[in-house]
Amino acid sequence: MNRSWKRTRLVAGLAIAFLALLAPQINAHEKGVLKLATRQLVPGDSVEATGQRFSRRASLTIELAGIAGQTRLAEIRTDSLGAFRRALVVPADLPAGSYRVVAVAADGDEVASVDVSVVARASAPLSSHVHEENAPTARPLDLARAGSPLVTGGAVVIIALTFVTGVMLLRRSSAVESSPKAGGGR
Amino acid sequence: MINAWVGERFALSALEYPIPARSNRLDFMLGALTLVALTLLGVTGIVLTQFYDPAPLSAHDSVRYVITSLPLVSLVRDIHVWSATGAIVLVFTHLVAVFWRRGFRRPREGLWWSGVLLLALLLGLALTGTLLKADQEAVEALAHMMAGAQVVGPLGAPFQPNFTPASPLLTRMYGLHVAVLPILLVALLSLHLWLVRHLGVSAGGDAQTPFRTHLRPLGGFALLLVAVLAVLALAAPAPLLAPGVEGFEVTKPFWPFLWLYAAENVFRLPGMLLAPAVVFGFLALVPVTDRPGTRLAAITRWTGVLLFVLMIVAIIYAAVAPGQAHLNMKR
Repeated sequence: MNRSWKRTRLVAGLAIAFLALLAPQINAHEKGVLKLATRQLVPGDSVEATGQRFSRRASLTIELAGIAGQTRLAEIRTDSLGAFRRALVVPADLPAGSYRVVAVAADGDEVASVDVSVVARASAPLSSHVHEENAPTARPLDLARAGSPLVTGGAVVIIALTFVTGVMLLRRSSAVESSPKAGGGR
Repeated sequence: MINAWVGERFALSALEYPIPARSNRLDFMLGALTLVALTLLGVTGIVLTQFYDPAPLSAHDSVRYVITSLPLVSLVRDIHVWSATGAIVLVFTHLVAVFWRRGFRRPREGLWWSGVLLLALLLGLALTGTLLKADQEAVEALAHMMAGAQVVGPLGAPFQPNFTPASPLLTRMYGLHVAVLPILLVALLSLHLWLVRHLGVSAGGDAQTPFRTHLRPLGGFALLLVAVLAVLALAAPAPLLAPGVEGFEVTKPFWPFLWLYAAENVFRLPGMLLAPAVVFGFLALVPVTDRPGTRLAAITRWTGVLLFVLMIVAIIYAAVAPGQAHLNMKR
């Protein structure tokens, strides 16, 4: 019991020492604070971003992360206090939706982020302020649907196989029904 | 030999129980085919949850992204929408066939009532599914749902935006669509299938055949159903309207709700609420009012036929009539 307790203490002590050595590596960057003048962005407009408590004189990339991937907004360098102030331009062709503005350190680590919404200027969703040119309509959007010959061709082949198998099963079941052995108590 | 090996290990002899021979006809397989469409809805729905963002400001965008950037997922979405149509057509046809055959008579009342509840759940899934697109049709459907919920008082509170400030109404409707309603559906389906197993695939029928023989034609029709839904998905992809604008009504609802739209055209908001109350109230009362050999049985049957014809006429009227704005919305 005593020996086992000593062994446990030794292992726990080594584990703590290992973690203590690893800790500075895990937290290689100082996590900063990223602030935007507004959390609702409009494509084409600019928004003022301020940052504090980042590593001093560090290079940061400011990105906009959304469902379709990342869009780089700016490359900045923090001052001697680890702060910055910069106007960011929201890409004009950015679709409306939820995004995150992310500060990424030079080695690719994310060091700060803020959630934002991008609201399309021409079709502010769920808004009651509607102009004549973007009045609601029952007409479906004329979207450029994603097409792939592989997907369409594969679907056609699978549909054909499904159809043929279905017909064969039905033909076989009617053949079995009409045979004299079929159907328990008929 | 392989058949015997598999049969022994998977207890396939349990499939030898007798069922009426007429159960192998298509009109007795509508319930099972509905289950096939529901399975397709479940599988495609799971795929779609990986690409859908239920936040109000990004929901429309995520659907648009699927349509414009992901051809395979877009096809899955189209199959999902067409499977919803298929499931509703099949379940409704199944209900009409069972009603006409009086398959709700003792001891099959539980089967009937669970089937009616399944129809209501399916319509609930169709409504919440419509909302998720966050387009103009969705915003209008949401406005109607909120107006209806307001009338039923505290019971409708979960369908109001201010029910909880922590989560937007659209996100909560997403929760209903992907979790609450499917769980209820599976529970009710289990009860329905248990009753089918123990009360029989169909009432009556003299000639008997093993259930095993039912599986081959059922499999054949199921594959044809899947093929037809996939062809429809390829030929007529599900549309998406522009992001919704509140306070306007310019669209008509998803077709299974067109009869409610017609009722609202004629009787305004009370019509939209009374029409389903009348239909589902009647369906719930059918096993009670249908007394074999009495005049009440004939009255029940012809009232059902009248309601069915009225619903079809209402759907056609709503589809062809000019659009109307309800609930003080603008056009």
